[in-house]
Amino acid sequence: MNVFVINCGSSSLKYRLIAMPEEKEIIAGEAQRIGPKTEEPSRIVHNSGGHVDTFFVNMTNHAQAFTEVMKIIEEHQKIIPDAFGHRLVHGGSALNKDVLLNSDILAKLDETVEYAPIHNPPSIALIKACIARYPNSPQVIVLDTAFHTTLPLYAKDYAIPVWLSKKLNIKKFGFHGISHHFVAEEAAKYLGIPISRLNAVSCHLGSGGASLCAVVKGQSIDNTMGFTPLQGLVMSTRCGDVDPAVTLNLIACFEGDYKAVQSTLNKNSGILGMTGTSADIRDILAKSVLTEGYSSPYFITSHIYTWRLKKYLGAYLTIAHPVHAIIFTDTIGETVPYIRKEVCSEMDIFGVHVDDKKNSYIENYPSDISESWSPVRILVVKTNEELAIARNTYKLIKNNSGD
Amino acid sequence: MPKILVLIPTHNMLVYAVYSTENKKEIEKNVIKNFRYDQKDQTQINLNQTNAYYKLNLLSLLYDIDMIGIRGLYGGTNFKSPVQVNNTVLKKLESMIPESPLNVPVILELIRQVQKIFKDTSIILFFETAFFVNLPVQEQLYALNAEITQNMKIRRYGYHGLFHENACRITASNRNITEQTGDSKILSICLDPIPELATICGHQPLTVTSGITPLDGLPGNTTCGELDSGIIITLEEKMGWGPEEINNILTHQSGLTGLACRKITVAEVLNTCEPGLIPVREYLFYRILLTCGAGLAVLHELDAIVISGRYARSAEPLVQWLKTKLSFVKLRNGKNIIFDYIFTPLELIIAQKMITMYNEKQDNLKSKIITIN
Repeated sequence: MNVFVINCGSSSLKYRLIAMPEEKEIIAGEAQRIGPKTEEPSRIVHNSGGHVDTFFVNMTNHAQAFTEVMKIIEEHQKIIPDAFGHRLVHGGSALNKDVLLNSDILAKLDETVEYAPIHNPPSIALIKACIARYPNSPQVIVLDTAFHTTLPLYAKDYAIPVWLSKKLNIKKFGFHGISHHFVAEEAAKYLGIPISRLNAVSCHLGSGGASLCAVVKGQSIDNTMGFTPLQGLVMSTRCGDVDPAVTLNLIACFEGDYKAVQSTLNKNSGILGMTGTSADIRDILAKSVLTEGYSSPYFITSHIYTWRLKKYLGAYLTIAHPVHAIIFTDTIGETVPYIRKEVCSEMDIFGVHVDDKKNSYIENYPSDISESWSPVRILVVKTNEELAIARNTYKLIKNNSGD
Repeated sequence: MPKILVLIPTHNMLVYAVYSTENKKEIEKNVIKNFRYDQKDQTQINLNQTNAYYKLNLLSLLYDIDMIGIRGLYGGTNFKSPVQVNNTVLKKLESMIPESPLNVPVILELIRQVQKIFKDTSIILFFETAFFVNLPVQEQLYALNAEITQNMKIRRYGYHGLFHENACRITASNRNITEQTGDSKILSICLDPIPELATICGHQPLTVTSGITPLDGLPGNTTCGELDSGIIITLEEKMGWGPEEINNILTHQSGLTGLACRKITVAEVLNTCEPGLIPVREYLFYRILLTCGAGLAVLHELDAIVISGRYARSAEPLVQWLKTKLSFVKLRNGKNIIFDYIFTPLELIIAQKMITMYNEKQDNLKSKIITIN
């Protein structure tokens, strides 16, 4: 079965065509700079069997981008996918697990928009375009929030009046679930234990968003992100945790303009907000080395980033004890040894011992970078959200067909 | 024999306690309720119109008060240690009103009335935030836009500095700290209406759960603790509430009370067997466990977990639970984790500090007399 996986970003669309259950990637690509005009033209970078083509096409929205991508696949490669797997960032209160799309589910999709007003609308528009183009192909929605539905109440709740939580469905949803689930499964395979026995702390450190997930017996028991993806770690432009009073002060300062506050905390905080120069921690680390003095914003920012990460790692190692492995993944987690070393050093109290040599040079993934005698393994695992979506799509279709 | 008077103003109460400088014994202690608000309509009133004013006058007649200690919640970065009130201090405090508009004016008014009643008596201010002025910068700062941080003077403090400072002082004196062992490393859990956990190495705090205000961190009797900022934005957007209304909900109707759907305290939750309150207790315990884990990560080693605060006597169920959850932690001396309890009330902690200061003052006076002779 050829599963076509669609992963919408705010201005991009990643796609993969994967043969299942062989897990063989046939086509990969990305539609870039979707939406309003930018300095560079919008384009589709298409990779088929290692041959890369770039198509410059106008794409004002994700639905249009999808149409252009499918034109390329159908016209140039004469392939029509057997099934589609769509990533949806937030299932809201309407969806709490991955689902095979039908008319009932389709009707519920719009209810999820209020929970992720930036991410969900383009995904939903694309899903609708996909149904219109391929009405007879099975389509599966894979949720970023689904993995975290196992959170216990004490981790899920916020200490605000119950009536208010119920009225507005306020609870910790957690995010990056597809990635956390995928790397946890990969780690379990690597360690040779069933996923249902795995206790781990998964560190999804992207160049944009980042979150930690505590996993017990293969299930998510806590995630640093919360009701929205704003909570938790320091991110590229998001603030992560802040005192509620800060948000209230900002609302007062912006004279009640909550959209301005939302924008400030989401787009002009975090690494970019603190340094004013770059949103990428790799740039900041490089500058931190070059600039002298503990008071340089680069030095301070890199310390705040790793400090908060370390605190959360300690917290999650405690609640998930006894932990088999710490898993580092995504762009920063996979490629920045300094971050891994900073957060794993002097963690003997948790049984965590990093091997500096293994950490600084990784040849293959997954890779174990812990000392041989470390009770807790430290693994670097490449995430593959598209493959995870393909797996879930295939599994759901297969289960549904009764095979 | 001279006496010491300790005053602890809170939202709507004034705790006062009189101690003997000779034997450190408490002579009189009481709570004056509604010391800032009219009982009938809850409007704010001047201190000299309340029964607190008359009570303080009475104390001035009854006792030979030599020193007065006032506990302040917020001292900003200006006050790193106890300070004797003088004109410079008063000016500094006045300049801090915008930083803490609910707390600083109360302290200022109390100082002015106390100065009137007790004339030339020394007044010493003890700020809860003083202990946290030198928090490491990575703990102090939030990941906000640098301009906003600077303009709004946003930084983390702790609000139970006096309890935490006392905890590390007692731990250090109880343990044989040598050059080899270095500073004592503790997790200090203050169980008060707004609980707070601090990680401390020697006398240097490394982490603290409270933030720019005591609203951040652990949930309290009625305070929410940590919250996704997106929730506050949602409350404004969906409920149409302004910042004052949201602040009122998060400060007075949330926390354990919000979860229990009735007025409740941390102490009641700690000891509850009521089935309906078990989830509330699990919530509180879980948050404390998370912060213990975070503290251990930056502390690297541990000597003890110290429990103090108003509700310390109710802590046993929490301690037993933490013992099982933290059973993997070995102390620096290789032994299993231990919990120290400190039941000293806040007023006595302040009084003890004052008596030390009083004795030093007397010794100084004596040495001056000897020098003159």
